[in-house]
Amino acid sequence: MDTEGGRGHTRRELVRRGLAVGGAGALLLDAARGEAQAPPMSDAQLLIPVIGTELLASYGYQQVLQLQLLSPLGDRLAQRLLDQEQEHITALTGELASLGHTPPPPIASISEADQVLAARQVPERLSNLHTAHDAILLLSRFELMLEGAYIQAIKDFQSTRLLRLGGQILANEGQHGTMLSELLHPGDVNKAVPAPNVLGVGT
Amino acid sequence: MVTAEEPAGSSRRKLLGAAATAAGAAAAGLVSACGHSSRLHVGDISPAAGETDVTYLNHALALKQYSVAAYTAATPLLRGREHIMSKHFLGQDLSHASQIMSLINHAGGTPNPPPNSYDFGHPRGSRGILQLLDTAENAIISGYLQLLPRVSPGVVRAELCAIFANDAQHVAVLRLGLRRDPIPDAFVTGRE
Repeated sequence: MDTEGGRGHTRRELVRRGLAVGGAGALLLDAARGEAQAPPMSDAQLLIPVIGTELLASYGYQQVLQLQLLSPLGDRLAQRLLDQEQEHITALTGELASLGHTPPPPIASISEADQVLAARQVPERLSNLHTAHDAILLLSRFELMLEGAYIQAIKDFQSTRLLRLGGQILANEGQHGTMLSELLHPGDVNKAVPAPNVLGVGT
Repeated sequence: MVTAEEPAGSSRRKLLGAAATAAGAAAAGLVSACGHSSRLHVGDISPAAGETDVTYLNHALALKQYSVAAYTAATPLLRGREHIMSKHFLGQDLSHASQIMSLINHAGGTPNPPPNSYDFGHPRGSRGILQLLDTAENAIISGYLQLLPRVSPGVVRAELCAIFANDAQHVAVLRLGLRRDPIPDAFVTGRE
């Protein structure tokens, strides 16, 4: 699990290195820097990093599917999880639009995705996947990032609708993590549901 | 698996009833032994959070007490992987009950005790038991989603979410056991 200290370190590293990241990646990083200033965030401001994380995860699932590293069962599961992530994106971008804001653009390249992963101190890289195990670990990492993003947003959402929507999606992301673990360790419930709280890792 | 060699319906019902009755006491003992420390800073909750929040949190606790009782009753009746799963989920639900009791205490309230017994109906075989557990978990998810906007501060909402998202994981595993689609919907409502 990530820590607050780890997130701060990530932000400092980003500023120091002056990483040039476009699209959803840039917005995710901007949101992370803004978090340190601490004025209350609007629901739209809270939605943007969540959508950015969904876009990153969605891009990751697409790349893993293209690489054809997974078994047929794994491919079917990854496609299913990708479809559900895209349902989340559709719902959340609709909510953001209703608040008068434009969603972040999607991740444009593997290198952009990898820069975001590096900025978040995630050891895995999309450009360095060689086995099904590598791919499942990275997809699991995306799910942890999503869980963390939803937990953070739910603390501060003002809208009843967004609170419930965020809770429904968080629960689904938790299920995704369980199913990915099932793929690696079939029948091992201790690995599939390792902890009594779904908290993910910090954004 | 529950087989013909296992307790017949009436005996199983007695066992379910007895276990359910005992669940409250077992839960209280095990919960106190958990010593769970939330990473969501429960101590930040104001003691003045108010009676309303305590009422909602006690409702959340009641739903969790039901599932603790259901797992307590079910676990001895299940075999193999299902037994291991049920025991594992019981431990996690006890941890949840402990968390919610801490939230209530920090809000200046008193956790309500569980009822003396629960009516779990007449589940038939391991499939019926898994269905009972699935229903209990879904009741928590649905109930917590309803409560969510009514409780404060945000850290408490997040803690309730972290709990019911774990319950959604339980549902996915239970549905695998029931040979149903484990993740049928991108939005988990507890109304499966």
